[in-house]
Amino acid sequence: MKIGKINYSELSTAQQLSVKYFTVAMVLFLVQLVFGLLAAWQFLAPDFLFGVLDFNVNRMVHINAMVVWMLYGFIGAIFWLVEDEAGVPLVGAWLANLAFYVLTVAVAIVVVVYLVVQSGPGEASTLWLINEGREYIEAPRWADIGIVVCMLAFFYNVAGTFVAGRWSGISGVLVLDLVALAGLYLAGMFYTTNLPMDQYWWWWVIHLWVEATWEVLVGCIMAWGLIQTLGARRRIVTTWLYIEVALMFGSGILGLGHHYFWIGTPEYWLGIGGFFSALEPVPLVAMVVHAVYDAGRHSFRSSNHPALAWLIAHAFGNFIGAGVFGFMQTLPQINLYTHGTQWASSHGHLAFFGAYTTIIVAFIYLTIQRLRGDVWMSGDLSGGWRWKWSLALLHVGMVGMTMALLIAGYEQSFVERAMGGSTWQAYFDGQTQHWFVQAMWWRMAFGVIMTAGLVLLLVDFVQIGAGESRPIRVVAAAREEADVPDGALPEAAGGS
Amino acid sequence: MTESDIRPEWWASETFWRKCAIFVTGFMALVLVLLTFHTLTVIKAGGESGRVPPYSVINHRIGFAMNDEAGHMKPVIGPLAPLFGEELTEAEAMALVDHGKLTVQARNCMNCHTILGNGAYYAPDLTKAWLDPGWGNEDARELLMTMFLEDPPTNARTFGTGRRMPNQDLTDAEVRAVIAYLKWMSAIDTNGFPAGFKPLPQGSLQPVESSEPQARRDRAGRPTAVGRGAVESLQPVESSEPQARRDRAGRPTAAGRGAVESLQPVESSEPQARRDRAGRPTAAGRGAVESLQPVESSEPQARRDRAGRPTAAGRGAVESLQPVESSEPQARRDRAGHPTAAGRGAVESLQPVEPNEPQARRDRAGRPTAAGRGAIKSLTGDAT
Repeated sequence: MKIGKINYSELSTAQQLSVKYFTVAMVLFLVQLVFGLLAAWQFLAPDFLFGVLDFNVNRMVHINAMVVWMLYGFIGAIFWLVEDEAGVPLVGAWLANLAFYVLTVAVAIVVVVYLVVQSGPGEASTLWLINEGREYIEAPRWADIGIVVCMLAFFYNVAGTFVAGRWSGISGVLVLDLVALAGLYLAGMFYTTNLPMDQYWWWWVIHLWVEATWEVLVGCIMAWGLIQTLGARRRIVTTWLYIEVALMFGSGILGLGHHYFWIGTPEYWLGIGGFFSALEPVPLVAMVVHAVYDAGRHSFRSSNHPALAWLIAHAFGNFIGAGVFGFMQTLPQINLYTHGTQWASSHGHLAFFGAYTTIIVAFIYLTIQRLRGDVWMSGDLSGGWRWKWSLALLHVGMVGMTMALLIAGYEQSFVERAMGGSTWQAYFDGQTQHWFVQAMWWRMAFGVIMTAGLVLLLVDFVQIGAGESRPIRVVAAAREEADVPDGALPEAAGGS
Repeated sequence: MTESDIRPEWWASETFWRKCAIFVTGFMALVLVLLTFHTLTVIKAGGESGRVPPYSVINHRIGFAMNDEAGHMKPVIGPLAPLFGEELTEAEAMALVDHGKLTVQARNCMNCHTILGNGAYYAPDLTKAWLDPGWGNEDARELLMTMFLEDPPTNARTFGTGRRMPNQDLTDAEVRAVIAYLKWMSAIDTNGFPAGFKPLPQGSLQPVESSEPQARRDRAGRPTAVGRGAVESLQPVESSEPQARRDRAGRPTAAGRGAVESLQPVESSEPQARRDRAGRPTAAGRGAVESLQPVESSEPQARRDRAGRPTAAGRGAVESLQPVESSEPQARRDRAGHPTAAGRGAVESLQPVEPNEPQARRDRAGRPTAAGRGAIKSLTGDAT
């Protein structure tokens, strides 16, 4: 490997797959932000692209690009860690490559159809070919089936590799979580006339992905990432992972009930959903404690500063965005007034960014370090301002948007719901309220800042480590340096 | 160092937490599955719980009123008021609603609107679209909704936001189906969401062959009719919430069928006027406004006929009643405290007024509601 140069051909197949998945993920991240800006601008100038790219199209691409790029990011991260964790080369590499291309072509076709065809007649064929018309999982049914097939291939690669190699606590949780994640997608693949029935199962996919299985997935990735970046001890990390799983599924599975307050489902969901979803921040607190403890325990000594910074950002972002902002509106007594307002988009923006964007970015930095021949990526990095500035701009942009949307949400729930009685007139009264309008401008401005941050981040991805001649401070060395805590065992091999 | 020194406490051990993770996940998943089985039976369309109505509910007038027992607002299924005047079987209604839902998905409505509060926040929630006061009154509603959906950009009411709904190129069949879907959706019991929603003025919500609502009324401790015949004859009258209030206020409530029938037309316009005063636009589009304004007085009448509801006892009857509805003056007069007539005939003629929310307000404001046929005439004179 040549330090500071691109060493793509020297990566293993699984690592090459990671690079491919991450590349597409970042393209889609940019697409997400571009379409987010278009949609945000339409709030301010509704005639902009009217009849050409209407709000619903821009918003759908904005959200779908996000869901897909995050899945790509997770897949990329898992391909990155699977060989290291299993101790053997990837099983079924050719299939993994085929699945990547099939999935990517399918995604491209879906996006083109979204943009060009947009919608169809009110017949089943539209749901099969163009657009399913259900938020987050709009992908037409043919693509659903394609996604499931690709996921099965992916599952075979991952589980097969662990079977061929060794199991660990992390890989055990990871594989079981993938089973749940793939299985849950099936719950969204049917049509029914009955709207409450429709939304009931729809939330199985959305909630049990985003607030349960995705969280556990990033828990696994985070656990591995902490071992990599800090040389944290596996036994501690694995134990924490189990605690997080217990807390996450303990609160998140029935926390699903907070989506069943107002969709025609029985009243007992008010109590069950309110109680368990209020507990959902607890595992996120645990994750923060865990990450900060580990980082402090190892005096922040890391071979990869950008990755460590983004992992810490993940711990806090996940807790604040998903935990705090979710908790603020999760009790039914509050949610009655905030459900379906900008409160939800405020929470959504910070939660997805804090919980998922951050950790995928961290992983990409780990990938790049290896790609550049295990290059030095710690202190005194040449061009180190780029990763710091991009991190700052992305966070300032995101937090600014979140706060602007929160203010808009407050206005909406007061003016439209509490005062206006939720009629359409009241809705528009809320939308024209001057603080709401101001908030939309601020959201736009911070969106631009965030986009600038992303552009800088992508530039940094291409340039970081280039021309650097110092080698990585090897993780093994870091592990040796890390003091063995009093009365604790040294690294437990395998963990299982 | 012995082994026990270096082994963590049981509560900090990997094995303990692995077992915990497995047990907790399994238990929660099991509970969710059990709850899901129950919920799915409860939310069957037309199921016993009444939470999700049968599709044929689109044959009925649908309201949304405070339910004292539940502590929040619930849909109220009223008497027959078939959508577009055609009473459908459950199968036909289901097919129509199904087409509507397919259309709403195919046109990606959810990425601007919210549906049961879920979706995007660029356009208003559709949960109670059917009942939104923006449609004016129930007689204008179907026409306005149809006109709007056929050409949303032209008929858009942007309320100062400038946001227009793009033309979805809906076919006539799709338009009707979407309206049917929205009407059905408005009858879903959403535990009181959206908060504090005030539906548009409508006729009586008391189902003629009662049952469910009747039962509820009983539980709420309101007096109910004694006997089948009694029930039938009284249904239209006492029915709804507002009526109850009026009763408490000690005003006579009885009325006859004929009375109700003859007065139906009245209600439609009264509330309309008020809404106007409140400054809400009542017609759907610029063009729509013009073309519809005149319609409202006469059109409703026709509509009601198609819907198979009994109509006023003749042209003359309608005419003689129209003045009364003029509302505005009437209301003022009431507030001014003019004594109004009462009595059997009077009651009859006024019954129709009661049904909806606005009426309730009027009652609460302490305006006398009773009047007689003769009274009406005499008051008409007053009003002008």
